[in-house]
Amino acid sequence: MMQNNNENFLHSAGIENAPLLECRNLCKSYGAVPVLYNWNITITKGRVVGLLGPNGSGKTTLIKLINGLLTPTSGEVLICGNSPGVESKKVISYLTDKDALDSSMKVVDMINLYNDFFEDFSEVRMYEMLKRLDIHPETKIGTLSKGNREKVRLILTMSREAKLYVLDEPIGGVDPAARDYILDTIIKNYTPESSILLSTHLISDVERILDDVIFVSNGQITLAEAADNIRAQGKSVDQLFRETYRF
Amino acid sequence: MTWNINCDRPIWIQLVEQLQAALISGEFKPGEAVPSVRDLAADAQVNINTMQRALQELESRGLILPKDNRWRASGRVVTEDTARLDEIRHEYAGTILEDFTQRMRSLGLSDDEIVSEVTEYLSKLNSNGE
Amino acid sequence: MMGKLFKHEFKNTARRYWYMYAIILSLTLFCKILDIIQLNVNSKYLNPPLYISVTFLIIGLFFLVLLTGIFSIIRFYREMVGNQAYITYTLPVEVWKHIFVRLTVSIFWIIISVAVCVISGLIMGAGHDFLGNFLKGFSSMLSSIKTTQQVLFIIQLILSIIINTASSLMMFYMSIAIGQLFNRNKAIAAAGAYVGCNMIMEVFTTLLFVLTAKRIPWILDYNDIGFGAEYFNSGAEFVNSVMLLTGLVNILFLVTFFLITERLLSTKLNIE
Repeated sequence: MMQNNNENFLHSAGIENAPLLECRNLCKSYGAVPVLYNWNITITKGRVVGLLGPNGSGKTTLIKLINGLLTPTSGEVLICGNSPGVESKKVISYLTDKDALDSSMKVVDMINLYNDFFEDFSEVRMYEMLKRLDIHPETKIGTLSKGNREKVRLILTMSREAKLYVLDEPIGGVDPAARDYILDTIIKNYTPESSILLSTHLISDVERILDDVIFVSNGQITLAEAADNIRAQGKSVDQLFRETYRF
Repeated sequence: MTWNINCDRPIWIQLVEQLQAALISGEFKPGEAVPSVRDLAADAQVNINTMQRALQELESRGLILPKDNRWRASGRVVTEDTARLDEIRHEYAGTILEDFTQRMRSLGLSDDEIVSEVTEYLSKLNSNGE
Repeated sequence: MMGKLFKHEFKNTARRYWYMYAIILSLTLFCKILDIIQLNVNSKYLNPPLYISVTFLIIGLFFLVLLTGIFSIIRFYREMVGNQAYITYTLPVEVWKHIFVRLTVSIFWIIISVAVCVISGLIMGAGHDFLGNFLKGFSSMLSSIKTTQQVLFIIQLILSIIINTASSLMMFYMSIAIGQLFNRNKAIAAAGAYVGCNMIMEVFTTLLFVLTAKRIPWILDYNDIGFGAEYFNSGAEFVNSVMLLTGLVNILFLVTFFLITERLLSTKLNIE
């Protein structure tokens, strides 16, 4: 099993940059069952990081830990130096895997909600992207097609000028056109001051936009490397992944 | 611009190659402004850092220059140094020729025969109006 | 942040209740019209529709209050532990503020629904005797208190009803927080937790009353309780002591339930 290698993520950053995300000896167990074991990760700013692994490997658990939906059994997770809490939630923009929107609300209601609670929400950006999607703000969320719902959720998330974007399976279950739109939006909204943590099992669709990749399996990190470094060895990230996780 | 990215080779290298080809073929004219990193990355559907790395490589090869020498973020332009572009074109031609000659020779053709094959083929193309 | 939470909570809950209030008030008006007609015409043929309508009205009022409570519990479940919980917990707001705002807004709507009942009752009672009799009985109880303290008594009455409602609601919320600890059948687990908490509370309250009855002088000796005529004069006093004690106990419960719920939802959150 390969050692995970922190230094790769620091190669683009100076020493003065505090990491956006840091996990130190992070462990999570449900009772006696360990779900996440001894994670050490550092993500600096300006990176698009892929969290790749089969379902049940611990990706969702990490994401919940980052967002304060779970508390660690031991070790710690820090976002811009803060433990998950009110301060960290101000700088994290989280796109959930499951659709958690209230179908009876209108799009504009969600926009107002985000606008009220998140200082870094850009209404201008949101309405711009909404217009390009040709969706009217007064539309009830329940009447949107599945693809449009996913897009609205994404642009809500990306309209925030957050430090860390956490996207959980952003392209799961959408048609190729919607997928292209989503990847396009993710690329376009990149800033050197923020980073994106993207969790997925659809690696071949997504690997082109990743700077760095983390392989996860059975609750442990098996690889943490820059994507092009993997490709320099003659394999795509997807290929390496399949080889690693072949039965 | 059409991109052809394979994920089993470092992407930044492929971007350099394809951008270079576009510059040489005149898809971007000398002195013309280069689209922003963001637009290029979105067009190629690749990571911005990767595109940035490719552009920096092209800069170090002298093929593109920052618009304003004092401030890189102002954008980039294609070099007007046609000699440099010719140089790169010549290099590319060399790579293609290397592979070409090797394969022609493996057919058993002599160097003179190779040249006459090429001349004949080209005049045929020209007479067909291509 | 709290102001914004309140604003959103009110906005999102109001849409539910407008319909119900409109229906009830329409029904009340309908009944009243029948009633007025009957008062003037006094035909025996009008009695069946009148009585049936009033029965519906009473059932409707009952359901108004009941449904208000049920909606707020369901809403708490959905927003704090169910599907929409993800959005709730992504907001940069402390958990206790979420709980506090939802509790307060729920109580607000319950109060409004009770007020609607009272208004409905007043409208129906106008021009009839039973309203006057009811008020007479109430004011005779009041007259046993010194006039200066009558207002205080009424305030106390209202407050203790509110606190009672709050602690009951809070117990539901706490049950939901306990229920979500389980991985499957969270709703059933919450129901079970509610039953369990209820039993514990009953035991606790009974013990409390038994233990304090003899020791606190201002509480009447429970061995002497009988609802004979001699107690009518001090009826207000009795009610007052019971109110005070239950009020204090309820405040204790309310705070305890609140703290438990907050701790559970902050540190032991288990949403899928």
